[in-house]
Amino acid sequence: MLCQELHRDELAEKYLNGQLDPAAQDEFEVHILECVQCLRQVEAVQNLRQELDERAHQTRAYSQVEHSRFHWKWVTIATFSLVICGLGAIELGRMKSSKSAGTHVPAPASAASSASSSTSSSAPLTADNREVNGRNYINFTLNDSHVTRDKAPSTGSSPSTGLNLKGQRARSNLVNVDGADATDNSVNGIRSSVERHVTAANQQPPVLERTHTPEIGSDEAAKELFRLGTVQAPPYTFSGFASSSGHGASLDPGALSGKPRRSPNSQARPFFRDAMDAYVDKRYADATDLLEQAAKAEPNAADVNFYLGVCRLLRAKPTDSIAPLQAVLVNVNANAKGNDTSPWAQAAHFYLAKADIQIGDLADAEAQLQSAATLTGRLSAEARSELTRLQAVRASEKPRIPGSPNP
Amino acid sequence: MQEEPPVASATMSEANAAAVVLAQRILAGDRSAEDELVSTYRRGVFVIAVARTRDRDAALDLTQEILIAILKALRSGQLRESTKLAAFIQGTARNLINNYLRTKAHHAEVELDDEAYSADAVEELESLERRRLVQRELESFSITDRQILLLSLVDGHSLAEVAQRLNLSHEAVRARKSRAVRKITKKFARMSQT
Repeated sequence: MLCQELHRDELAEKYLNGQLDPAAQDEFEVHILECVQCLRQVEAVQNLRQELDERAHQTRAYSQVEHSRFHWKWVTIATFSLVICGLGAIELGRMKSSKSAGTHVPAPASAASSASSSTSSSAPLTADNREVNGRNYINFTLNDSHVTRDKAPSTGSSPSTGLNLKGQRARSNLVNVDGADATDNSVNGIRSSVERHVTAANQQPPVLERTHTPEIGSDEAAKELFRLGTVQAPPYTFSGFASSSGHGASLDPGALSGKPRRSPNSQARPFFRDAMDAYVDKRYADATDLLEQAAKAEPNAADVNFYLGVCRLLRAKPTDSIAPLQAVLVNVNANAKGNDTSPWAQAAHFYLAKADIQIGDLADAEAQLQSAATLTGRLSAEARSELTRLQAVRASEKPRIPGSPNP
Repeated sequence: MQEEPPVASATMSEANAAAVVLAQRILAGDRSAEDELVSTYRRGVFVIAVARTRDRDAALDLTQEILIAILKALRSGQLRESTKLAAFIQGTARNLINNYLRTKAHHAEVELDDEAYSADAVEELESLERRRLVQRELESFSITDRQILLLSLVDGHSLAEVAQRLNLSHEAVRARKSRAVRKITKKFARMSQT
């Protein structure tokens, strides 16, 4: 293998993505053991992948919000510019009109202008005796302009869910000349369609079914809660291996329970395996149905309940996800021996917090994150980080957020 | 058109020659040669272990195990063709990693001193520094660049798919990705040299 081949065919990426056949993989590995330059390149891409993987959630959420904001920012600017130009033209016209009245300059005649034109001029009105920039200005009205009602693209019905910022109903970002507003589901500049974009990017279903909406007083707080409430599917791999980066690593059933995945009830396992097949394929609806079947046969199985809760959460049913996730905790606590807590507990607390954030129960979300942060596991750091962020949001919005103690 | 000098080939020939000598020194019981082998191949073995297991913690343990197994084999003269040291190391690494993946339990049955071949503090620091470098570079990229890298390197989407998702042209995605990866790779290589 030549170094040029490695660069030309992007073999490093293919290798790291597991896209090389076994023979090519072996050849590639021998090459990087012999060639320091190529090894450095693979290391760089590997490190880059790890970093990207660790902040994938942030990048996806942030980029979609930014993308959406960018689009509307320019539409808003363009509309403002048009309106300001229109108003400026009117004002200029008025100024010239009053100026011409003061200097007895013949004003253009028209029925509409007679009221404003106080001149007693009887000069014939031709195109030549009008002021250069004042022609027909009297007749200029907004009706003649091309600025019309908000032409915001339809994005569906008005929001009945989502965060209600500053207690106001959602309004368009666009300025409407006639004072009417068009429904566009925007929430202080963040359109609800962001959710759908994020979903498309993540290939995950929308996650924001909110049963009651906390009134958030600032854009930043709302965005932060949006980020905190967004759920990324914890990976599940049949080989028992998950990427060590990110929180998904600890969510492999084998890894979490610390023992082989064997159930006393073998009848439920086919359902569970099929469900996990569907889960890996991101067919969360199928996975949910199968997990519900598995849960009937194994009501106390931590893995079944956990993934059922996660699937419901991913299908925008945070309220329904709470019961199975709590069942995980009940089962885990019942089987706990001394201080030996199952890693399922931490994962269940973590995703319960996500569900709570989505339904607006921030007090309970904080409690769940606290529990997750105190437990040992790979979600500890992420739980601590999210806890701090949630506490910051709650502290800044305390008077408005339900669940906060009254000041 | 001037032909590019075969730098890589020359480097690899030298590496092969050095590998032969190294294998012979280990067979002769030279402990410093063992240290040299470990420092030469540790990073490569670790990269392979991470790529195959996708688990850095497991890869760290496996790297130890693989290096110890290789040293044991070299000491007992199991390497038939000393020119193929890299292939021997890769084969050993592959087999041990596959065993690990099959059993998910790796109990190193070794008589060698583990501590002698564990990653030293300098190596740990270097690894940390490399990570910081990547973090810094990543921070400096635009959100679009980061998204391109995420979709292509982590999610495994083709450039065409990435272009479609981000509403960019294929060429723009290719250029942006290539520039970003090249930038990081260059800095990475520069840091490794210093």
